[in-house]
Amino acid sequence: MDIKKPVKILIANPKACIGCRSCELFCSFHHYKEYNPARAFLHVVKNETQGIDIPVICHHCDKPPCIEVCPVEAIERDKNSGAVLLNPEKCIGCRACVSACPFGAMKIDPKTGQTCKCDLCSGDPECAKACKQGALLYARRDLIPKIFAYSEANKIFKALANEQQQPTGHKK
Amino acid sequence: MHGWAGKILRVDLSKKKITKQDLPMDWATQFLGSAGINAKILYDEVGPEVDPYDPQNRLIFGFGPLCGTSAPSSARYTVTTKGPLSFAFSDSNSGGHFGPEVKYAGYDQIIFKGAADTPAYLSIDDEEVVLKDGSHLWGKDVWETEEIIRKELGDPSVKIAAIGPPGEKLVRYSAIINDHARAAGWGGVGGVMGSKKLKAVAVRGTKGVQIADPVEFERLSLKSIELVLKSPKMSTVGVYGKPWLNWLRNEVQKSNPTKNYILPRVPPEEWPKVGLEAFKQRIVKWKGCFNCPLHCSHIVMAKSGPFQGTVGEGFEYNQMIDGQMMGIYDLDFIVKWTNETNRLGLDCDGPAYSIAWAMELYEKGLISSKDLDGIELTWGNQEAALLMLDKIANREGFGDLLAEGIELAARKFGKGSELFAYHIKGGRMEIDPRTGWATALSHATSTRGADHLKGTPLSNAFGVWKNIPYDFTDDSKIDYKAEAVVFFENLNAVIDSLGLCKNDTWSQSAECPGLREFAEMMTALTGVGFTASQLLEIGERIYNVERAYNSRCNLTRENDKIPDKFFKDPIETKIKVLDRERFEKLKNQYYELRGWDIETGHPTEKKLKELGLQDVAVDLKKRGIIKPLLD
Repeated sequence: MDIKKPVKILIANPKACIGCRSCELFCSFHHYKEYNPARAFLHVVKNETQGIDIPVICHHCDKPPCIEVCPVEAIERDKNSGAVLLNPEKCIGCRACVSACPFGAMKIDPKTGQTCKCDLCSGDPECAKACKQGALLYARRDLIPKIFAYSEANKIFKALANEQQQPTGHKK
Repeated sequence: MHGWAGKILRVDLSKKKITKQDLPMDWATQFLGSAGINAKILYDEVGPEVDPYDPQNRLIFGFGPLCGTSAPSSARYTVTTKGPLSFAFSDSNSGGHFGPEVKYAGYDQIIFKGAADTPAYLSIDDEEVVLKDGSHLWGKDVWETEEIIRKELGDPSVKIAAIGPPGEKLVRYSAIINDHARAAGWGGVGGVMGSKKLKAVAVRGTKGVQIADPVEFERLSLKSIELVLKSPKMSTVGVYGKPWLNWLRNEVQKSNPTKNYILPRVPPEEWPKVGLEAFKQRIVKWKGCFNCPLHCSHIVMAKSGPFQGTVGEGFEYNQMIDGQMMGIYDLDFIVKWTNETNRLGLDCDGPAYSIAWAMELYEKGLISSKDLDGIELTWGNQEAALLMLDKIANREGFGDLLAEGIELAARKFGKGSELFAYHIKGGRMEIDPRTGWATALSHATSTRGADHLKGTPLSNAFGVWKNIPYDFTDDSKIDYKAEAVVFFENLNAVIDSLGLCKNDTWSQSAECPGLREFAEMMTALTGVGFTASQLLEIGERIYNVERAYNSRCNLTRENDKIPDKFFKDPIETKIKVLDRERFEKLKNQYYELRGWDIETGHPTEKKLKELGLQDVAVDLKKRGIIKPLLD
């Protein structure tokens, strides 16, 4: 993978995640035309005691362990989009990739029993569109840090502005 | 079937028998689902002679057609039963992720009847439904129960709704808690679950919701999500959460129950401790229910004092009131209180309002610390409140009386304490009826006791629907009030039956999705054509069934009443105090608009037949509750 290429990547920001699972919902709809988060290619892991929600996504890694471990070359990188894709025709169902993935992002479909994974919706991921909180971003790899920096800075701007201004409350 | 899962799950706990039946299509088209179908089942299956804690009572979980879809905030489910507080119709509604999961497993309704010999819990894994031994869970709190079941079933993400020790001990305001901190808290549904020795329902669903016209439905649901995102709700509740409503009540409407209604609102010198600024300082992050673009909830952390560092989910509008009712003006305490009531499985308000009543008893010298095992139940005493909460949860000492709920406790205690036990049909009052006429009327007529989520106009949707100028914030004018309450009761019945949250709909903002959006979405989802007015008629049908159920439980116009205090003591709101004559006139107007009998408040045969409820009309006639039609 040529990491110098400015392709878009999908990235999660757990701090912004509110745990609503719209991403799972729209992912399942895009791929199966049904509302079924159990079949989604990403999963929001919840720690309810601490109130933490973490979207577990496929990172389409630069050095993907799933590709390395696959004995039949069923997982390949798409040269144009940079997406790591699984070819179900070639897959023998050994699930080596499931245990190799450091994030638990490889999925086993509850309906078919087959191993499957995120395909970045052919370059327009539904999860990122569905997330209204900015917890999932699909953007050019080199711009991601800037986007994060600006959204963090915006909070500080707001806090500074609020110091001078009391809450306005009922806005019509 | 599209939209609806198409199956009803029946669990007979006495016989340990699990059956599945097809969802009758006419139920779906006439009652939509969730709250609506629940009400129909309760009417058909639980007679007036059945005590709420009798095994013959039913505990009905309902999951609406839009629940689990991409419609905004499609997280809600409803639990319906004969309630142990009102001894009549009762339903309770909760969010989180449990509701959608049951839909995905393939069920629209789960009906529990009977009672298990030994504690049990129900495990649902799509078609595989098993009653499991729950003896080892009995006595455990909700959070421990969740943890044990997750380990036992080997699925760390299984969705669980459970009760805690108060539910087991039949505390009358016990809740069913799902997803750690979401509660079906109203009306004591947790106690009914406890009476059935049912500890929990754990579910895993992988079948999903099927859609008749997927492309059109997705387009419509995205349109509705956009409406929510553009609505003024985003800059109020979407920023401050529900505490924004407390601010509105306290600072604008000037009514915000405090110290068991001794004070009309939080005193100005205390307000900074519980106002929006104090709340903001405790926010860790946002928290949202399933597919909710609005997200009214937060993860909060106590800032200082004995509870410093405690993390919890909150706050709801009513949780904010719990503290001030007991004279406690401290949001760190609310973090603790919310956590404790969630962990124990209690409606957070039930114990707060009962303790507030007891604090007034204490202040008036009707009880002393001797009656309370040494607890000094003075206003604002946080430690005493938490000690009392434990006593209530375990039904120990004076807690046993308070566990009966405010109405029964006062009746048993006597000595004039009924005068300051404020309730309507057994339900504690979290909104001051002196806020205005529609608030008062809707609290009196609510089918589940004092409540603002059945019919209180909280938006201008009525004006939008009728195309007339209507300002819900000015509750002082009496025009349209009865008509608006009827409209909101029907509208809210629809929303509860679809499986949506009221927060980001017409129920609370006219700019959010309303009847037209629901009708469009329902048509694309189910393939059955619905129009906005049809939906509203379904809402009316549902409300009539709920009312008829109460008529059968001997509730009449007399029970649609507001405690005397609110006709006597003026406060700073626009209407200041309720006027008996005007209020009774407003009620007449309401029953007339409803097509109900003005004298008794019962639904009439004419109205019931008009709504296709012949079976209900026949039943009420047979019981001598309504008079036959004179042709």
